[in-house]
Amino acid sequence: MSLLEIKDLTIHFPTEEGDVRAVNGISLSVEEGKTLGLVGETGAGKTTTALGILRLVPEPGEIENGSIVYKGKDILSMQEKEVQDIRGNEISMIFQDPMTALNPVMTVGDQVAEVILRHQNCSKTEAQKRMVDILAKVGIGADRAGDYPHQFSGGMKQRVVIATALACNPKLLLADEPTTALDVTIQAQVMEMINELKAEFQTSMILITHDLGIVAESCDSVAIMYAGQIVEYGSLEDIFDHTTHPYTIGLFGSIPSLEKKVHRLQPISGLMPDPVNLPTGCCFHPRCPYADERCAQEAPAAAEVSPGHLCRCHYWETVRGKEAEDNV
Amino acid sequence: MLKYILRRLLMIIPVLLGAIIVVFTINYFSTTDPAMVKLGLSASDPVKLEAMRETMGLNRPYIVQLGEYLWNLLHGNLGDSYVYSKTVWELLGNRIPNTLRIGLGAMVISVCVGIPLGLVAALHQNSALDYITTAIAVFMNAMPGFLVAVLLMIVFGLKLQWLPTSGADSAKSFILPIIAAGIGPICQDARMTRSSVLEVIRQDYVRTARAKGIAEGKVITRHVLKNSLIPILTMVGSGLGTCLAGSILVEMIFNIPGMGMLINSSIMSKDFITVQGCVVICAIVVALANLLTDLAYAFVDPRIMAQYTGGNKKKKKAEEAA
Repeated sequence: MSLLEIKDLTIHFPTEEGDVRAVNGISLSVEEGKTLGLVGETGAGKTTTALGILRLVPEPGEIENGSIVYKGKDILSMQEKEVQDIRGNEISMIFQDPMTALNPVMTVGDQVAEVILRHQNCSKTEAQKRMVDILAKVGIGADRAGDYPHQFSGGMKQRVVIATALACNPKLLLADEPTTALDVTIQAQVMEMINELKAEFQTSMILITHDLGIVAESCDSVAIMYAGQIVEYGSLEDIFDHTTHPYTIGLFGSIPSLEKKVHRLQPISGLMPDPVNLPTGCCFHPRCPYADERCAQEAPAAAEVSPGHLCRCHYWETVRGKEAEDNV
Repeated sequence: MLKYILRRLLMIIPVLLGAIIVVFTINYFSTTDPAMVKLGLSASDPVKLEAMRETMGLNRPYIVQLGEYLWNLLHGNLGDSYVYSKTVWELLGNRIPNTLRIGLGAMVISVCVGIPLGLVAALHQNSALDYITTAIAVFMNAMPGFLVAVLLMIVFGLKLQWLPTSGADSAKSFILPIIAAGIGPICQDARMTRSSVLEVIRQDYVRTARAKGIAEGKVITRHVLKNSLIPILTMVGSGLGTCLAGSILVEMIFNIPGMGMLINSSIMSKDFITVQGCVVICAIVVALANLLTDLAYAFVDPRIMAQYTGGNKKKKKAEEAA
């Protein structure tokens, strides 16, 4: 059994301008000790999905449908108290922007110790000791525990955020673009640290990112998200070596390759659709080079390309064939 | 920190000096002749008037008189009343406590009632509770203080006969005046708290706190409230000035012998030296209240504290290390 199994998760934000359809029936699963990469452009619904797992979707968002089964229990049908016991303890989240994720009027030590005191039945002195330990693990000395967030650089703040997330040895870590707000030089360090700690604690992880490079380094399986749907889902090899969905192909086309000589990068033309007015049929059809009338009318079901490799495209076989030709 | 407090105390001096000079100058150039006020009916005798002007030192140049006033002030002497044969300080002495009771009382109830009301409204944003609280706050804030005072008197003094409507004889006498003076600040504090809490509650770090599994009540007290305190503190701090100004009206309505009453009667009898003394006292109180507000910021927000201490802590650490 998987550690986390999401089925048909749908999250909408009813607003005056209409329903913002952020997440539209996604299904995925995370195995124990494995990492799932959740990849997509800004606005694809990645963060909302992660917040949905913790039941922290901001107002006026609503989880309309679906189930999130963690260790055999549906988080969505739990009491608020039960969810609170899970948050920060069994499932914890690393937030995207370390600059704003820390309380400016509380020392970083207190912020880390807070989560330990909340979940680990221990005394204050014991919590202090563990706080110092976990800060040391992310490379922050004990002398800095009494400092406030404004005394830290961005990279150091992200370390504090990671320490907070890992303080209770969670089973599942939701890392929401943990390196996006950081300098390139720091990015590698932080990713390396997350992977080391993850291995040490045997933690599973959902890594939200738009950086395919990071995915290749750290993930076991990958879900490509577009307009609130998972358009392609499979193991790392499936996605990287047997790319099938036109959107995924587009993503790879937008990054420079070391192996192939390319004159110009080929970005995906057009923009992400407005989640209030999603296109009919396949959401990707207005930007898809393979689209025809059928794509505009009929939403594609998830086709099984190979065992465990799913792709939401009517013409995945054609696309696959064309790609294979091009690569020869 | 101590250095900062001292520096801020020094900075109060020019503010007070400015206030004193303005009041003194207005008084000096007013058409009222203090000697005439002092002599009263016998001022019709020009010889007596001239003699009085000479003894009061009114014939000396402006700058000399100002200098003398400041010099006396420095020694705690606010001058002699034109009307009563008392010093201004004697007149003020037993009135200041009454005014401070009303002013501070109003401030305390505005904090104790206004902040919780605003918090409740913010936590139930867009609910009936929120709309009702906000509507009442806007309505009461717009209502003139004297009207509130008179209504309170009619209801609790005349109809119900629970509380005295005038005088300062017992602690009970202060209840209605404090409520009357506090209604405006309560509403302002409530509205400020509501908007400030709403701003903070959407911050990422509040979401982080929730993601740590902290119960909602603790998220509010530990993470939201402290961060939303700065604008509320500003409001409360400046509220003392408002309360003092409001006390003139409230004291007159409730017939309480306080500074407000004194200011009013002194203006009526053209006893401007007493008015001047009252204004100076008010200026000192407001300046001190502002200083306290600024210091309170530092205790709430470590970033402001860091500005004040100016990296002293780091230097100290380095020294310790060495």
